[in-house]
Amino acid sequence: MKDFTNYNEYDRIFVAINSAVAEETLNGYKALGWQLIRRFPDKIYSNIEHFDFYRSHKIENKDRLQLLQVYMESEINNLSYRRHNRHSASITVGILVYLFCLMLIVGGTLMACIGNNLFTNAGGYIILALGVLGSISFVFYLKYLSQKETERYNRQIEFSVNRIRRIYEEASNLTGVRNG
Amino acid sequence: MGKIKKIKVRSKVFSRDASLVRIKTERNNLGVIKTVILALLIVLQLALALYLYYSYAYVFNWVVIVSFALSVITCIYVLSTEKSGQSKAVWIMFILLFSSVGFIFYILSDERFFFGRHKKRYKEIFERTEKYKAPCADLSSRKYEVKNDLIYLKTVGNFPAYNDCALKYFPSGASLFDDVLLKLKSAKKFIFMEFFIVADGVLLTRTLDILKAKVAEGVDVRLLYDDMGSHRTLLNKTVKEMKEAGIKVQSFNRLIPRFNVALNYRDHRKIIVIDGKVAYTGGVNLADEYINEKRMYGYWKDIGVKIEGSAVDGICHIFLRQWEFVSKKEEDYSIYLNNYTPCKNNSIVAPYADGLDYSQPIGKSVYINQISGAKAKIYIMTPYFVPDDVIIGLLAAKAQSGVDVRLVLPDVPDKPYVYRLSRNYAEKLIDSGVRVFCMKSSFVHAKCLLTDNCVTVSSINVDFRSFYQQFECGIYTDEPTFMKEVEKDFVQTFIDSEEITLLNRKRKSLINRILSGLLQFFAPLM
Repeated sequence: MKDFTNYNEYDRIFVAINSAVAEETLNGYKALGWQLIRRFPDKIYSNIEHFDFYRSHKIENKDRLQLLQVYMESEINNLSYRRHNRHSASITVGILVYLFCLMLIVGGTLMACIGNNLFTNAGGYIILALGVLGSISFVFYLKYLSQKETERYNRQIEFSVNRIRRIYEEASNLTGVRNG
Repeated sequence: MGKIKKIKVRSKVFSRDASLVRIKTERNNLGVIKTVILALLIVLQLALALYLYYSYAYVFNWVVIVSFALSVITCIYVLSTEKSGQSKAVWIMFILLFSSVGFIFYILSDERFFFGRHKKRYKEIFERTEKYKAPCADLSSRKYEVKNDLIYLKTVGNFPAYNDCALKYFPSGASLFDDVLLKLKSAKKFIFMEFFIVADGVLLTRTLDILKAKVAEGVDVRLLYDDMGSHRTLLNKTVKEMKEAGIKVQSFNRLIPRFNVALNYRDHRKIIVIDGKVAYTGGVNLADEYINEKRMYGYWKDIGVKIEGSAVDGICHIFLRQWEFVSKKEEDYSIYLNNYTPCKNNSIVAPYADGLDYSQPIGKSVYINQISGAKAKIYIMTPYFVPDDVIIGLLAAKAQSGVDVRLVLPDVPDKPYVYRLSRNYAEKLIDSGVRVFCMKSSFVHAKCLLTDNCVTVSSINVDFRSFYQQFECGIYTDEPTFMKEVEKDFVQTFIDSEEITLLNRKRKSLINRILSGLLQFFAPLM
């Protein structure tokens, strides 16, 4: 029976992983030479699982494996950060532009209603029209921007996935552990 | 696990944390509390002193006039000192800006005020222990540049060069400490350790198990750590445990809640000596992040060197002097020296030290000499790159002369303001042809400078703190096999890094440029 508390023989690591990527990440850690002691769900968050791994303290190519592990973890986390932020530009621009259009609409309406001469009335209607036209036409620009963001996001995801695959491959070559 | 936002959906609670994978790292919050309390107490003392001064000045107007006059005199004095031009400019501006109290700050920051008597003690120790130093090896067969560097070390610090040594390079903290722990088990006479940071964790536990066993066998075990470096990471309980086990433990420059500029002077050395037969030095401290068994700032890239042969005495001498200073006990060094086994090697190894116990910034001068003497390549690894104009100018000139100058910095910062400053300085050098690399997802803690003639592996960062305020150490060598190992590690690091070029260099925002300018201005004071 292995004594995993023997810190001279074994290294230990405790990781919290989102359930959505648990299986793939588990395979990644196995490719890096880690072996699972136990896994259990988080007490509060239903989408978090905890993993307790061990590995022999003295293994070949340990420095490289430690570096690959960091690469793997940061690349997996990058996938999530990119997904969270993929439409950040279009959302920010959209909010700012629509606030501006709303300001034009409200301002134009007030000018048109309250104005006491032809110029202010006409000016109000023009500003109102600009606000309405702007908000309608901006829908198309936002759609274009969102499409570009999705394309860029897909390229980034493909790059990250390929990078993770290469990391797994290199780790497997070093440890000899291959997962399905 | 860090702050996690939660959102409730029916009976399930989902974590909104964007991180999919998170390593569980224990953090010592007690250390943070101690630091905050200490900082607050010192700020309170300063505030009280300033309040008393201004109260006095409010009543007696002539105080203000005299203060201004003293500030001007201090500025003239600053101009006459040997500080760098940048330091002088910053100090003069600071003194004149705060003309009523600026001169007081300058006087308090002068090492002679708070450190004067300690320097006197160091001088006494040096005079008494010079006799234990070995004669310098014959340098006649050395390359011209190497010979000059070694003569410099002998002249300013009386650091002899040794031959008949063997060196082993460790490209990581994990590999170094695996070797250290193995060697510790075979110790029979004495074990000396000196670190900036000693941290509770699995590495310290592994080490202490062996040290306690060795003490029981009658081995003289000594551990010297820096109090500021370790105050957040080493519990008092552990120190007590070590002392009870018979390990001689000393802390350097104890942190006290009293305003004292000398608190800024830290022992940044990393030394291990075992039986006088083998020694280790480099950038590695006794903490888990250095062996990547604790995750702090991505992958922790560090290096170290094992020395066997006569040069072990040089490292041992450096340790013993510092120990004598801290313990205030005179010792006969001869029992700890000349225990080495000579190795057949024609190369030179020169252990050297730096600190306020020396009259010149030796670490900086060694780097300058190395850079000046390089003809083909200059490779530098450093966690912080805050050099003065001399080093900047030299590196730029060398790059423009066709020398392959490469700088490796971290990709992940541990101190954001220093990181910003380092990137700022490094990116400016790109225009001169220096190639700058950031090791991906890593914190580069290694301190190494490799040229075509020689290499230094040390604890010395390329920044003002290491050059002027910290006690440091390292080794200088021209050993070809060792240099090849270092170069191989550099080449692998370049592959694992992202190069910052003129094309991918990010254009800084206005706020960033203002902030960088301010940080650069105050860099000499950091």
